[in-house]
Amino acid sequence: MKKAIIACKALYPEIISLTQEMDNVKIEFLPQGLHNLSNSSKMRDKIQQKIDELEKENNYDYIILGYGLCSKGVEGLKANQASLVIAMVHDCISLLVNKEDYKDNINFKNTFFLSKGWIEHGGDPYKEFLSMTEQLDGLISDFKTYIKDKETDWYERERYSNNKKYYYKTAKWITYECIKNYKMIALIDNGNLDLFHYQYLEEKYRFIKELLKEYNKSDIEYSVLEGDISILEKLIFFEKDQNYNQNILLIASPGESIKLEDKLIEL
Amino acid sequence: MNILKELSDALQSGNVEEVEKNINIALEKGLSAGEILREGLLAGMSIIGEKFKKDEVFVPEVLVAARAMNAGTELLKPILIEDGEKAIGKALIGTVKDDLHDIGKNLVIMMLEGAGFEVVDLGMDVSIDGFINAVKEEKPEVLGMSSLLTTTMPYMGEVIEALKEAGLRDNLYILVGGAPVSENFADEIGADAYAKDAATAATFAKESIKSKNQ
Repeated sequence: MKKAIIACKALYPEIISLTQEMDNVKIEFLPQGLHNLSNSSKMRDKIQQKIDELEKENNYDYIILGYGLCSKGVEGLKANQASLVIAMVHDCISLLVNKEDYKDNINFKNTFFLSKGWIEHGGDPYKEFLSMTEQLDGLISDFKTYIKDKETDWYERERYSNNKKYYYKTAKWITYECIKNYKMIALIDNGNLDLFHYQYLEEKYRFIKELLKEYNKSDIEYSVLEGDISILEKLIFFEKDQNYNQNILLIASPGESIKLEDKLIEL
Repeated sequence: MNILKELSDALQSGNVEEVEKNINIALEKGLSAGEILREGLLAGMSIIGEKFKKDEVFVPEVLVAARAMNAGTELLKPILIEDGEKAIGKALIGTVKDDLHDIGKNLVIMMLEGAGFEVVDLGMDVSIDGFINAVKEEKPEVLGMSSLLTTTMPYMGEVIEALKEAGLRDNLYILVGGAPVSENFADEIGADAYAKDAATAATFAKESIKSKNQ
């Protein structure tokens, strides 16, 4: 069976870890943040482009999508020869942690999640703030020291260098507007965190705490959550379950479009 | 240069001082508050909206422009009242339960005010009862609901059901919006329309008042 995976780079560490014993799977990562583009069709187009590229290069039987519904950026994706496989979750967080485990102590609506992949490959309001005020260099240098020769690209030069620069005060106000409702920063630990990640968590936490204080907003906390990648594992090794985990995975046959909204948004 | 164009440009750059200065110059030149609001502020905000859709500007630029627009409308409000500009209708706007996103909602509020509505902002994370009670109390012509998360979209449907049960649905024009919302979804839950952006929301709301009065 020829398998390929197209995934958001926020899931990079966990996917690489799960697939390291596999030598017959093609994995392509797309940048984190596609769901932030002004229209969900833009995210869809980028993933569709990758699906089309893979289909031209080889005849895959299955293309696994490392995404959730992601604000409907995956809705309507289609492969012509391959079947598409996707987990029926709203977003990547469910692929990194089991929300049920924490529903009594975490209020998901006001929690900002971090993970190894999010810190090393994703954007967040703190990084945006540093970029707007031309202070990224310090973080990048810490980052490079930690990363050395490992692959990473969160500081996507192009994306961040194109950011408009603002005066410190304005940049703080902009960032405040984006983080004002957070009460918790949760770092997800899938057994892959280093001191660097805890340091990032603490730096981001301190920054947000100070910012909220300036606007007399109530305090923010932080937490480290034990992750759970069982759904991600079921997704990557979907063929191991005879029933293809019908409650968790959606498989679209060749030519069939992904229709995840109907499955997830119950009316 | 045309003072209204200067005002629009100042708004687009998010320059609050320039916006206030240009409004005062325009008033001195004898332009009406209504004209300044529509041809200066709203015009600038619409351009930002278009640029956002084309990825020429991003959330930070939209936020600073909105802040400048707010400053401008605050300055004009007392004059609009003096001029006897009456509201064309009342609109209630809120983000649904468990959803804490409000940037888009706040833009809709601005555009609705620019279009002549009196707007009551219900804030974010508004419960079903919160919406029902507000409709009972405020008796608006228009209700707008926003959801940015696919997990909170169903609440829009629940609010509409609750409104029907309370006998309040028929007197309302219900608009829904937010990144993952669609026309299909709006139809499924029985809303009157899906507005893909703030300018469209204001246009639809205004048209709903016109057709009501015909």
